[in-house]
Amino acid sequence: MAPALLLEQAFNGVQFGMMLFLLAVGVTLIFGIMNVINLAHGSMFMLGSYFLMQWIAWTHSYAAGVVLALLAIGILSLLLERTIIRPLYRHGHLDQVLATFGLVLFFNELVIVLWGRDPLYIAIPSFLSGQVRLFEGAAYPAYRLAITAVAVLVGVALYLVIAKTRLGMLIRAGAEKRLVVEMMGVDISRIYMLIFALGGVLAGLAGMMTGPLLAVHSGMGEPILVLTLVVVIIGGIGSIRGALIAALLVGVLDTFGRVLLPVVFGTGTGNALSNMTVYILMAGVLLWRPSGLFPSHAS
Amino acid sequence: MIPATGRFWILAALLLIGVLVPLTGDTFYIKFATRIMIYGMAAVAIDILLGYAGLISLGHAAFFGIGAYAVGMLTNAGVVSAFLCWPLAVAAALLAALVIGALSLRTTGLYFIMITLAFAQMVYYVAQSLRAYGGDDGFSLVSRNTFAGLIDISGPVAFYYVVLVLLVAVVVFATRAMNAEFGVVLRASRDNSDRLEAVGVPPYPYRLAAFVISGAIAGLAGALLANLNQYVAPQGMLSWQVSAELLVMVIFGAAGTIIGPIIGAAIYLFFAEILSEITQHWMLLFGPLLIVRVMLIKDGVYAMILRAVDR
Amino acid sequence: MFREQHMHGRLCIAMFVAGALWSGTAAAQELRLGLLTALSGQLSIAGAEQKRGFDIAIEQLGGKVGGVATEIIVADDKGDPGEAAQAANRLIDRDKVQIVTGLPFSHTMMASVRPLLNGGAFVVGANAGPSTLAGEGCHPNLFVSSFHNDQWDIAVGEYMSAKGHKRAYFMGMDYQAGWEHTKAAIRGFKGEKVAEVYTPIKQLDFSAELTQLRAANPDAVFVFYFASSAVAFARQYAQAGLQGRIPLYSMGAFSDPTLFPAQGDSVLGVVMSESWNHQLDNPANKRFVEAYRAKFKRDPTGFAARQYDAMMLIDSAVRAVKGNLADQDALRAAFRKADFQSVRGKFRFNTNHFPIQDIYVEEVAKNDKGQLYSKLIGVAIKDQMDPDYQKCKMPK
Repeated sequence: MAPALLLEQAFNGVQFGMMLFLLAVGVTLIFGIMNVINLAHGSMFMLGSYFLMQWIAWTHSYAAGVVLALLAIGILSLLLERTIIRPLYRHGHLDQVLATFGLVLFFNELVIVLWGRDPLYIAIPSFLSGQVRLFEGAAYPAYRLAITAVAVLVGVALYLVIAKTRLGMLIRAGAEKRLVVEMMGVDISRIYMLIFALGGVLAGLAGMMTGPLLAVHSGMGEPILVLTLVVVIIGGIGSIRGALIAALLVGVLDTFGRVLLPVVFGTGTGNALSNMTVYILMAGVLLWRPSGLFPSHAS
Repeated sequence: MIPATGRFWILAALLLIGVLVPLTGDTFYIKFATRIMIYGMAAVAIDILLGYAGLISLGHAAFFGIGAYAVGMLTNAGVVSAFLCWPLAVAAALLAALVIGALSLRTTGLYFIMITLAFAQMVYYVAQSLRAYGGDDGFSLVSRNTFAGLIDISGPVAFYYVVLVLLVAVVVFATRAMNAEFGVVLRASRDNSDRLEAVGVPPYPYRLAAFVISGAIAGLAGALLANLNQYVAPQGMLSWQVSAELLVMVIFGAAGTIIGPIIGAAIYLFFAEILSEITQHWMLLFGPLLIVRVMLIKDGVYAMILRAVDR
Repeated sequence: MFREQHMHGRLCIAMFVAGALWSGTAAAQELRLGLLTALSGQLSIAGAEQKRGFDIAIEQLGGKVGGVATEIIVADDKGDPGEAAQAANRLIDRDKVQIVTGLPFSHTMMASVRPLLNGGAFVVGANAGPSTLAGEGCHPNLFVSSFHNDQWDIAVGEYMSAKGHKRAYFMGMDYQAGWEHTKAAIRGFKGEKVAEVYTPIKQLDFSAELTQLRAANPDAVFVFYFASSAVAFARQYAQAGLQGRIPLYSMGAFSDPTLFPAQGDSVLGVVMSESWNHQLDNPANKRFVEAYRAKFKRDPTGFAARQYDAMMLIDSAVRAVKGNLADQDALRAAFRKADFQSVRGKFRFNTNHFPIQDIYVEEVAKNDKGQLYSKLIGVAIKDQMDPDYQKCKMPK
């Protein structure tokens, strides 16, 4: 493989990985701190796309659409947390899996009722629709570069918040010693609400950014959700650092697997193997380190 | 001796219904009831793991599908006898469950859920890649399996009774196992595995045994489904949604009761059938229904029935 | 064909029909017609389009197909083979249908065709045309009025060669129909095959594959994608700067009026093969396109046109036997005759009950109102026969 090709595929892998990271952060925080499995995370991804599409249609502005869609997802997440997720704290994992599975089914059908079955269209803002000459022989779509940059910025911002602010300290404390935090007089349920909303917004953001690339359709969140769960497990539940490293690992491995394995093993076996790459990786990691690469010290 | 409790009468009633269904003569209902029994069997398999061992597996579709594919491949290769196919299908599922279980049970909690999902996805992708067997489209069976001329299951009624007999056998076996020492240890490993280890009983072999038995039963259900539909495909048998649906059936019926899951399967399939007649968008109703059941209703239907009867 | 019947309240009608069928009376009867298609699930656009074509036909026939009182049963296969098999069983066991049409996709068709034919129904496939059913799997009661899966792709492959392309890149979806379509295009193409890539069915992000494609720098690209993947691929192809630089070829499912809104300008210039185009100049097509435009406010797709054609074919056959559906031999002969006005102009069946037809070429262009449409640019092959008809050993 020529170096230019190699580098460009690496870019593809990183871009994919950063999208997974945005989703994985939410899941890992929600599970690591609140001990809740939320299958409806993929639905937030999907709704982010749909909301953006609708707001753009109403306001004719991409920027306004993004802001309003983020707001809408945030409000929806808060509502969900209040009504459905909060009671589930006391229930076991099975109940959480099933209740949020019910949400997934509901949302998948809801978007069909509201927007129909045809796959839908979000226009890329025109200043991003060209290509950027990265280096000789590689014209990389500007839009993909932009969303990767956004994801990296979000990651940096998250790091700063978690590591350098009081809120971040409370979140980290809540992850490790919930009882102590409560005894300190901090309203832990407020923190949970915030974390859940944050997770939802990040998922919605990932959906908004990916929507213009793919087709916006019902069920678009499920394949991404499964991959996200895999990333979280590999990285270690509750660890943002783990989520980042695992997401990049999965993104790059998946991308290279898709192009290299069919060449090495032929299309049939190669395609099957490339689909399985991520799962083989996860199984391998778990057998070596049953709690993921960077397990947080949450009880 | 058989105690004449409320539970006994319910079981007797169910068995009676089961035996009488084919007399309605309506092929559609007979086939529908057969489907319920087959999914009920798979749900029983899940219940052994979930209700008794306390393990949530999101990957049991793998064993369900392996049983189905084994029967499909053997039948189309000329091995049409059920006496050969079905035990081989169960053996294949059992072997897979042994390997996957041995590896997965080294983890716990959410990690266990995810690794079972991972293994199931791998099986799914392997099935998808089998060009000779239609890949993602799957393939149809040339005929149902035969019983060396003793029973002809190509018609709906005979097949129904064969499935009924097998389901009853599975239920009896599972109930016996769960009431015996094996079941006691299993439940102890679910409730307090530390204490169990403290008295010198390692939970791992028992959990593995439960996983393997559960996988084998799911494989048998898969073999029967392949015969019912005369069609085998990855989507309807190996996807993680199938695993989730089986969990839903167990919950609807009542976990930890063996019979409950069968009722849960009936409820689930009835809902799917009736609701989808009312509207194309029946999932809009079903999703919230599931949420309501999980959050507001304490027990599955069967547990509620038992309580009402034992009053 | 004798089917066991027992008394059951809501099956009385069916019993009457079944009894009448058994006794073989020649009185005009009720036609129980099933439409088995994908109304939910990922592939439901096609199903919805088939239903639209179906509805227009029913309207124009005044609700009486073949001049006979018609009961229509619409069944949803959810785009899944397992569900299709069940839906087919339901149509036979519960609804006692005599003729079934629809069948938009190969995998669901393969799953449902066996129970339907075993149950004694006539099947008129209005879209998918799997090669097995054209060859060894052909059946006296099965008619596929749409096309053979390979036909359009072979046509496009030949057209690509005719256009002077020497090195072509081939991509498709990784499943049975995807392999068939893509390999057929490769067979039709006479030049060098640079690559043959299959992507997972659910995959919508083609960044890695497009990077490889650009590096290989072929003269032309053929793809087999439809619905969401066609939308995603077209958009990403344009975003990667390949639109207009490397000509993109496909077959009719890649882009049509249902996908234009989502694909936008990214799909301009794509050349596809199709057995029908809305610009075809014949009275039946004009009538169909006008009725569709009036009702649905946009141009029809091939799915709708082919279902409409299938309905007119069924109408002609039922009319020819005067509603006496019990006489299966007469019905079969009437189907074979195909004495109806097709929107494709001339139409006839081959010996394997698959069509012999012209394959057209269309290009996505903009009309003077700035809207996208499929412009008819020529004929790729005339009177094309499918490649499998000689493998069909059907009793005459």
